[in-house]
Amino acid sequence: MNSKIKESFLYRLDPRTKMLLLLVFIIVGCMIMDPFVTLGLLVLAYILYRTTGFSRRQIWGLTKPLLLAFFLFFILTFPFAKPLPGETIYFYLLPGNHVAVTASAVLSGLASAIRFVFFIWTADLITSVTPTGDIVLTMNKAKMPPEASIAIGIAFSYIPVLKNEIGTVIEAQKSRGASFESKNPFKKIQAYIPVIVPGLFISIVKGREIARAIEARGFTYDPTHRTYRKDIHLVAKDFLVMFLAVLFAVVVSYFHSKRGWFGTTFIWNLLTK
Amino acid sequence: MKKKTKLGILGLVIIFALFIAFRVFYQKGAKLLADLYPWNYVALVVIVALLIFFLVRYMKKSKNAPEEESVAPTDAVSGRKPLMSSNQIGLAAAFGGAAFAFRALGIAVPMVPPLTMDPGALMPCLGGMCGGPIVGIIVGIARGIPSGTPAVDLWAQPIKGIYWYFVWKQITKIKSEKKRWVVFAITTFLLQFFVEQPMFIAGNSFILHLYPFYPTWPFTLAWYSVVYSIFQFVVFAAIIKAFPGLFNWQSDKKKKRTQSV
Repeated sequence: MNSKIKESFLYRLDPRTKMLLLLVFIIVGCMIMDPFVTLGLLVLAYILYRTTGFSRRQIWGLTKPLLLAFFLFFILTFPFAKPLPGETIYFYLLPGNHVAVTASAVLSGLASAIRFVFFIWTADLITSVTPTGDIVLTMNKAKMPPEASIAIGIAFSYIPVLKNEIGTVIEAQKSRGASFESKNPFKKIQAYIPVIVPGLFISIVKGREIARAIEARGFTYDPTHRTYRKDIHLVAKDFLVMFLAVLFAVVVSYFHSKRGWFGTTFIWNLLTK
Repeated sequence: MKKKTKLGILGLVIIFALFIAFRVFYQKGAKLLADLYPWNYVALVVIVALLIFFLVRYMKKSKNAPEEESVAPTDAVSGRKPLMSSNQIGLAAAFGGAAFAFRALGIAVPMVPPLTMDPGALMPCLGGMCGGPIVGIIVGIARGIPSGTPAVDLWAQPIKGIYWYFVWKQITKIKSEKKRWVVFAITTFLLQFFVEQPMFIAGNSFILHLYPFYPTWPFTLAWYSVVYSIFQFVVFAAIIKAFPGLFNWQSDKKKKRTQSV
């Protein structure tokens, strides 16, 4: 992670504030069905990415694998959306008046696809700017049992170690002639089995080592009164961000439930009527 | 019978009943699956029959066996019963780390997004099987936090860890190894078909509104359940073979050897 990200406003926020932000993004994302407004949320997420210090290349790297999913989400949603009462049907995709192409169907397909990218972006952004140690501290502050938070903390900090180990397994299998490049999913699954099994074997062996280390350091003696080198405190900017986030969620929720805003054709109706 | 075992069986019955009710309820509204999948009900009868069989068997067993005294270790200072032992913390950390490492290395085969053949998704199940429900829950949370759809993964992944613990506990009690493998394979498929797949698709469609439940669910039902179950079973079987002790898997070979000695 570059120093620009570490110095950013979002990175310096309390992890609890960041978790609340993620929650608000999810809630708001679930309430908004309109593709144009969802696109607005996506732009907001992009601005947050850029102001936090992520390069265009990094964002593209995350988005590129989602393009196929974007297309498939559209395909999975759009042909099955029922035309709204009195809505103009442009044409039918299949003979016998099957799969009506309407504005609402296309918009609902687009909304699903954009929403998926939005969820992935926000989840990635928040987890990228929250150090592992802070996640553990947040869990402790949320009264989660220390054994559980420590286990999750170790799991996250162990990811690079396991990545290296499993990477070595992949290289070893490749040197034996294994190929993972096939586009056939069944062949790909078959090819991955000799990686997954030794990878898990290594993980379990490492897990036993962790258990011994935990025991040797006397963690189980008194986990409830365990102290941490770093403590987290909410400051004024955290309260401000929390307030704004909650306000945003409340406002969206009010207009969504009371006024019926943000439906699939909300902006489309404003533009066409 | 122990209280925990009773609760476990009851929990399993409730999980299955809920999902069957859920399916039947939705089938009324959508006619896509009407009269197409009679094996749903056949499978339900088999599951319920198996559960009743185990329940009766254990009730008989517990009547004959003397009650065991449970000696639970407590925290030396606070007197609180520890949530997990060091071994369980180690297992949770190992499986939780592996769940993300597989994804980070790109070891996942996309099927129908966001449904993928991701070995990381098997970790909560394995955690539950070898470490107990708490380990299953923790691995599920560890898997859910960095997920792209935490609103679904944060509750659905831990649930997988919980029900696999209860199911596995019953599977390991089968004495014959051959029978155990068969029951294990069938259970893997049934759980995928009845619980995991509807649960995730329902989460993605009703919570995140990513796609409609119908027709995504019937569309992915048969082929995805079969392919994923095979994948799941192969990985599970290989790991169990490598660490039989960890998964409380008793081999017939050992028994035969000890008998001959």
